[in-house]
Amino acid sequence: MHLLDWTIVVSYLIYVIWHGLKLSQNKESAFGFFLGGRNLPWWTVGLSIMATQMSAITLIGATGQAYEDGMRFIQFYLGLPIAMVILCTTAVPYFYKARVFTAYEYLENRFDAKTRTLTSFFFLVSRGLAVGVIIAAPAVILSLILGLEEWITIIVIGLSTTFYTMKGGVQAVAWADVKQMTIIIFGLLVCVSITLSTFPSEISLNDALYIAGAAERLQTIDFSFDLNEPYTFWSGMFAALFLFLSYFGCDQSQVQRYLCAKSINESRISLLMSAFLKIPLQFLILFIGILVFIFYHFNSPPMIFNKNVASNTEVINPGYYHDLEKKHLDAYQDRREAALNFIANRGTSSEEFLLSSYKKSQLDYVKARKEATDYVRLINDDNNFNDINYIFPVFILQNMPIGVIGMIMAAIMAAAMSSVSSELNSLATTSTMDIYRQHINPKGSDEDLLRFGKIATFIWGIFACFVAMYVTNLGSLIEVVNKFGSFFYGSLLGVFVLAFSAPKANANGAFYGLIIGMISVWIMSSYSEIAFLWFNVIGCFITIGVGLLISMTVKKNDE
Amino acid sequence: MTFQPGNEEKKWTRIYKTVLVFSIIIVIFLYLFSQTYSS
Repeated sequence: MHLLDWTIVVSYLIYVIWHGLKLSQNKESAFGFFLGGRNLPWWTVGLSIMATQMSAITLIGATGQAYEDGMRFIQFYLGLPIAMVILCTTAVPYFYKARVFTAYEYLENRFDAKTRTLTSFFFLVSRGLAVGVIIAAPAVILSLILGLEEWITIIVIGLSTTFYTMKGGVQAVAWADVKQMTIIIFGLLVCVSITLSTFPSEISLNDALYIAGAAERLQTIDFSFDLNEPYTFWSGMFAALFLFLSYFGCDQSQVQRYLCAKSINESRISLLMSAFLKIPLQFLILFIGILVFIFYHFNSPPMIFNKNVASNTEVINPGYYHDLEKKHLDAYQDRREAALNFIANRGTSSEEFLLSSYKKSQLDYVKARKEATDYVRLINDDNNFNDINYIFPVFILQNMPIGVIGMIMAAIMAAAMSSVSSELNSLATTSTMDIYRQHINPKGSDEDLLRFGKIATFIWGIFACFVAMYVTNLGSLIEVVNKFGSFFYGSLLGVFVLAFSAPKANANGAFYGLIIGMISVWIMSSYSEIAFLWFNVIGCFITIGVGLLISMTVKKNDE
Repeated sequence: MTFQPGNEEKKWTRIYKTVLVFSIIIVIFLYLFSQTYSS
């Protein structure tokens, strides 16, 4: 990277930390530190909610996914507006009126202390590990792209975020999120306009979209019903709806955002802001992936985007590797030719023939890249290898002008830091309110809680950095962390549904319903091919069913 | 001027309906977008 790009990245880091500290107010009490004195405007909370949800891996992973597989991932978000409306009428007023610090505190008011402790414990374990993954994923990619050691990028992202979160509490987090979202959106828009300007003069945006459509990259809605298919209209509208209800309604990292708003109505508006903006924003991110896909029709793409793995593979058998490169280059040139011919003759009698020629050349290109990827997997003894997450950063670094590279790298860091800060903040709040105040120091003063909250933020930050360093060498742990989250989410939602809408549900029903719900999902995930999104639905319904059954049985015994 | 509870409820119902209509429009847009460029 050029000196100017480095200056932009470093300036961004200094600015975010400085501004986060400067704007932190009301932090000298536990109420100020954890809930910002309930004084944040709706648009700040709304942007903070969106920034928390969008991690760096969402940003770079989604663009890579659109490049490789098309825009079908957008369906994942279709249930989000409906989830927000449901939460506005249920969770928001319940939590806000209960004057709680955490979502799990509400469960003690409704059920008992053990249900609160169990849910907060699962939250701490799953989120504590997940925040390590949230740091690790972009840190590994940025270290490779920027030519830095992995531990340096982990420390830069992890510790700088820990510092301003620990000093300024939720206010610093929320205001930093606003700046980070601004940087991300601005960076994405600049990226779109520059990428469009690099297309050959004979290719308009409309032509580019016809090429992407012919390559089946613009299939955004799939109405087929298949439980094993992760992204369809039905999994988005129904299964993902449950995931979003759980994530925004029961996960402290999101609940804490809207508990900081000035009033119930401002909390609601902040959630609805996400309902309106999330899908268009995700569309923009995926659309960039499509533009990168078109860009590489007319500019030779790397055969393998992860250059370290590519060079490690090349040295094993240079002759065969160069054969693969030659095949890949030929396939690229054939596809380029076919795409130009197709566009030049659109609307003529030869369109059909040239379209099928293009489709064949695209398939040949995919085959050539797959052959290379399979060879990398074989040589590196890694069946899970894929370089999707490297596509966007490599594209930026090799093709964007000086200055823009620094801005987009800063945007990727912003996406990582905005998620990490909210997670650390919510982990510290749960540790303080649900563990420390509940079990260790019930008579602790406000000052004790504040001090413990800051220490907890620091400890979770250090823990996350350690997890991040560890997971970079253990790919399977990432999968374990993600799976653990999906076991937990549906069942947790089931407990909150019992709390909000089943007056007959009691503490034992909720407690054992949660445990049985999680075990059922774990068994089902081990013995079926059902896509992970549906586990949220299954876990939720099993927890509700078992919870009600136990509640009624215990009641009968009492009688 | 403050809203009466009834008016407040109606206002929020209208907002929620707008969100749901918006999500239907989004689905229609995405469907038409993919149909326009599929070949």
